[in-house]
Amino acid sequence: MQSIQRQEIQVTVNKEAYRVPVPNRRTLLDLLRQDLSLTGTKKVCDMGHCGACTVLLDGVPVLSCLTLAVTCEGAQITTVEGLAGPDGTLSPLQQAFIDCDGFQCGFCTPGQLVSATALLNDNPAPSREEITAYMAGNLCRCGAYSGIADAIEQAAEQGKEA
Amino acid sequence: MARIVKTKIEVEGRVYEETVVVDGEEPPVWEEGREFTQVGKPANRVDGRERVTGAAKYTYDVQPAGMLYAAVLRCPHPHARLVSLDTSEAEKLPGVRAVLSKENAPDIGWYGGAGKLFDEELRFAGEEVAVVAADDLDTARDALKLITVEYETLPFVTDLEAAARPGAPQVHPQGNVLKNDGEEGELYTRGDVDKGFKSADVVVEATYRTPTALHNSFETHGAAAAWEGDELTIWESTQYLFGVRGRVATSLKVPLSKVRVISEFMGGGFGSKGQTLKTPVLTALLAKATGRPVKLMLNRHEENLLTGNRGETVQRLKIGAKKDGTLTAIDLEVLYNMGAYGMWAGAVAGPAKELYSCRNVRTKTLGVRTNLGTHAAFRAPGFVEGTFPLESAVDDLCRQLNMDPVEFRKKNHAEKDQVSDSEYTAKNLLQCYDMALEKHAEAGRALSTAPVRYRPSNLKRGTGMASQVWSGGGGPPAHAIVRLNSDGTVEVMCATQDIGTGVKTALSQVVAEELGVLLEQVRFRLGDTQKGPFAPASWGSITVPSVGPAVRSAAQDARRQLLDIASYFFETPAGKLEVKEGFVTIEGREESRRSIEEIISEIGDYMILGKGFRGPNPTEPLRTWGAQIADVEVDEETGQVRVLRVVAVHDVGRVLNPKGLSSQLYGGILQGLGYGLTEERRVDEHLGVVVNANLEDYKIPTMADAPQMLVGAVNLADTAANHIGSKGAGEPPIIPTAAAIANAVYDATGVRVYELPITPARLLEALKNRNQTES
Amino acid sequence: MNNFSYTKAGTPGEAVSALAATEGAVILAGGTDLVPLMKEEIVNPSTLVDITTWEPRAGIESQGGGLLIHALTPLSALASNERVGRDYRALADACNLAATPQLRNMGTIGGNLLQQTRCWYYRGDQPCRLKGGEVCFARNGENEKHAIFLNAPGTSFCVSAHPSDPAPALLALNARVEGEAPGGPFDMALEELFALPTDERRSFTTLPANGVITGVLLPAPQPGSRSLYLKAMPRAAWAFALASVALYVEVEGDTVKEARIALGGVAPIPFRAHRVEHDLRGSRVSGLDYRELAEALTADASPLSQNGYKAPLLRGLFRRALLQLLG
Repeated sequence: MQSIQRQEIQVTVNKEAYRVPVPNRRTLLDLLRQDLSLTGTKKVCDMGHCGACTVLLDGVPVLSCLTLAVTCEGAQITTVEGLAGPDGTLSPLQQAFIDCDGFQCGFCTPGQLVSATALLNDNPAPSREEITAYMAGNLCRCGAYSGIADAIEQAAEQGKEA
Repeated sequence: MARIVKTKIEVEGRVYEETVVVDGEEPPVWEEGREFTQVGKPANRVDGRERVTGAAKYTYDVQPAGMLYAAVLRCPHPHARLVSLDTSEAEKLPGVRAVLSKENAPDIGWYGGAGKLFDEELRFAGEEVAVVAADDLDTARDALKLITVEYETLPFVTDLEAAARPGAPQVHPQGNVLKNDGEEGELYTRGDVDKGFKSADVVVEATYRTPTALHNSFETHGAAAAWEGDELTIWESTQYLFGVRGRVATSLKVPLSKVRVISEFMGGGFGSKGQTLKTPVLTALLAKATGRPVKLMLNRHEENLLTGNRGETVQRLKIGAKKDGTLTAIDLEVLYNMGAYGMWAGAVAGPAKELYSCRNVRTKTLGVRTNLGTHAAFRAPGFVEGTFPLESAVDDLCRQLNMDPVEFRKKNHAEKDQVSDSEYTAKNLLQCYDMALEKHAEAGRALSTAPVRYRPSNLKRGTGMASQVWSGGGGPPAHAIVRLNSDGTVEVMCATQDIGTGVKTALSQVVAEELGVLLEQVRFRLGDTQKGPFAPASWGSITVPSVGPAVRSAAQDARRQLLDIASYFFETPAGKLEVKEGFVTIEGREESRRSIEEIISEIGDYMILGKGFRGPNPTEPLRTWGAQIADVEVDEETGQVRVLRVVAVHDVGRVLNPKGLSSQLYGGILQGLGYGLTEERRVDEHLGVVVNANLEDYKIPTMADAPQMLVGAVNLADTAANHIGSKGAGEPPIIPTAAAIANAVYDATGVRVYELPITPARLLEALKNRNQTES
Repeated sequence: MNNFSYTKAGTPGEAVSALAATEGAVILAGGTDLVPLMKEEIVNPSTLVDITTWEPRAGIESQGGGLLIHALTPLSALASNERVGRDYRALADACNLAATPQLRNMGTIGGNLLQQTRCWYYRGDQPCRLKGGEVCFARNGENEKHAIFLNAPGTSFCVSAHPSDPAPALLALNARVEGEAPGGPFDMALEELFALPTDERRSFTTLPANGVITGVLLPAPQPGSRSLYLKAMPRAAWAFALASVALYVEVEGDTVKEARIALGGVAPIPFRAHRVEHDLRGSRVSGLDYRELAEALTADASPLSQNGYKAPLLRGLFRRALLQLLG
């Protein structure tokens, strides 16, 4: 019996709707990068160990490398490309990452930004400890952690003022 | 007229003599104390926007139309001979476009002739056997499973000490231990070590071990290749664009002019991407065979098997001192694991030779080949490995002598380089000690990281320090072009690379400073061999001190031309004109100011072209220095070590961008922390395979592991080094961290751990021995 | 990753039917364990039965004074649930210390109990006995992370250490699991779910063939009860346990009325330390010798070549757990 090894799915990525055929074994990460050419989301370990591929799936940060695309039917996905405003205005968090040098090579940055965005959505005024606990799943080999934590604090501070 | 000059360049503990073409005059030195408008000011990354929006295109992100994906079949055995290979089933799989192996690939030598692109003898688990290009990655991987290979397994050795013994299985016919002029090992002697020990009142002698550390750059090694006619474009995640170009051109026998290498954004290298792996050659061959672009990115497992590592060491160290603290002798013997194709041993003996004043020093370094992935430079290669034993032993000496560790280090301060017997261009290590102590004292008691609810009563606190010497002076050749457009914007063309360190920003500051424009006006184009002149590899902390003077020199040339043009329109001698914030003014007459745009556009659509180069090095040795102090908290029940704080002060000459420098120091400290506490490759000696080639079991620090970091720089220009007064800062900060942590652990527990990383397993074992001795 | 067919199950019954009808079918829930195993081609399902949209979905509800945790409940929901934090502290602690925020958002409690070992030989290319081969490579190989209990050749052919954090917590909390199998619904003590692998059943659970877990039941909180979960990791966050201790006690006045101890990361399966529980039960709190109890806890330990440190580590964690719950 020839089994069906691909499906057509409908997903919304950064507010844009896509209808795409996907092989069952394609991960959401590969769907984004290969099929939708959204290469902002990075593949680092591809095994769920590093957090670089973090995206928001219906608002919740998940690892796109461990999410099969076929399971995303009807889902709303936000990637790093969807964090800035429609006119290109950077989010306060994105600007804070620049101001605080919250990156070095920048390869983990998309995942860091998506996790940090979710953190501030859940908890607009996190303590340093809460930041550390929330971000512990986003590894950075260059060691930009203190800039990242500073950036999250700066963005939270701005959120308070706004 | 161009002159030919010979100059010495030191990269990562190895000294080269370069023949340099000097074409023109170098700009005058930026003296210490000079007032700057751009240099030395904290600047945001000039490419920050691309990095935070996902727009930055890394090699991994390149997808030319029609691109195929490649995957590699690798030898599962540590040592084997290929008996037979059948790729026919793989070739038949729909979607497979090409399969290359030793059966059909050109015979290309590799590893300095010790191996081949596809070899019949395979010397580590992970070596290339075949490569497939297919419509998608899944299909390429499916095809690998259809290739049948018969191997004859051969005797292997992966244990470093076993490999160095006579009679060990041979990785290569010429033997496992690297020879220099026919002798095993690299020897260095000054003075009389035996006499030195006789005059010592206190001697410390021990065997230390350091692990194999894996770079784990977040962007894996990889390349994409596309042919257009007989011209080849390679996108490669590399620290050395021209290294890749040269290797590809030689391997494929194509002229240099027909190979273009691009690496605009690069996801970390830490030394491992200074070499050229087989990936660009494999993709170019596959692209040729299929007529389509091909991309081959390694996966994390492959990255950790074969792209290089900091080789493990076993070091027997003996040092002696007089009662007053004067070091009398240092004797070091090093075994260094180079993996299967290593051609040089890490400069592990560097710190023993240079860090302290000592008349009698003997070192012997044996580079040993094993059936494992070949080592590569890893952020201050050799010196990180060598600093841990030396600084541990110095700490023990201080305790036996009841001497303050800073006092001891000041007592043994080396005024000049004892290897070459000459003065340094600059050495501000004493200031590093004082500034670090001051910062440490000011900071007060470090906060515990243990949650209050779980804070056990038996946490022990300790403080330790270590210091650092490293090169980082750079040198020629490096060239740059500065284009000043008719609208006043500036383009810097230089085929250097920003591997994530932020040199693009710091170098832009140098250009803005020299030209008298705002940082925003400068667009720095790097990462493309076709878009700029030659620049060296970004390794050895050389990019700032090598390329910095070249871009300044180009900017100076452009500025000179601008002022000559302005002189005509201002009807004022060029010497009386100045450029500031993008405007030209007659000295002392603010009202005369006209923008660069106004001036250049006077002569129509004109472009000023400034050309610059890096001049020769001084004859004196160039060094960077630093001191770090670590505070740790040790849980003696669980063996867990938390680093609470690291204070780091380094002497890297003039600081171009303090923001970028801090990030480099944070990053170095964190990698040093990982090296000290969690990172080690594990190898099953019976099977000859790596068992933790992943980011789960090879543990790099998380945000929760990051201590408070108080960092700083002496920030005095090294005006003898080069005319911008700056040296490299990428490598110095990783060097002393693990040693400082180990000394802090000793301070906390009274236990000396002789093997890194200091895991709960090792620390609990050491504590058990202490407790047994006590009871 | 090999190809596979994909189907959704709307109910546990449908899932069981799909498993029974298709040779090689495997359940997909959070995917945090299964997807990596499929990428490594250690698990090669013919069909994935996606249960993430079955009814009832995720959720925690009161039942008989205790709690019913639906199988799809992600660990993050347990970590932040107020009632879990108050009455079943060990479980909240365990879920907070497990993996990373992203993995806790994805990983379900049902899947967590059924996860495979992290042994690097099992996850690597070696044909280990758990994967159907002949040999346990860890027994005489790289075994620093491995089991110090239940690891004798006659006891278990596999010497890996169980990776779950919630499992020891749930064992100490006396949880039960319920599920659906071809023979109908089943219900068992969690302790019965875990079993050392045999050549006939190369897994760590006794889950009935083609069965699924649908929920985890926690008994009603007892007066004077408290619990906690302590975990030692090789770095400050995001690591599987080198060793972990879940401790549950009921204290009345100065008397330990009930005590349950479960250990993680030190044996191929999470397990209860019944003998030490027995020593604790009925004892006077003021008369307890924590050092002695800790020694008793590791009396049966049989470390391998590289993991002798786990015994003192476990003793340290256990003493600390006693100190924190009993003062």
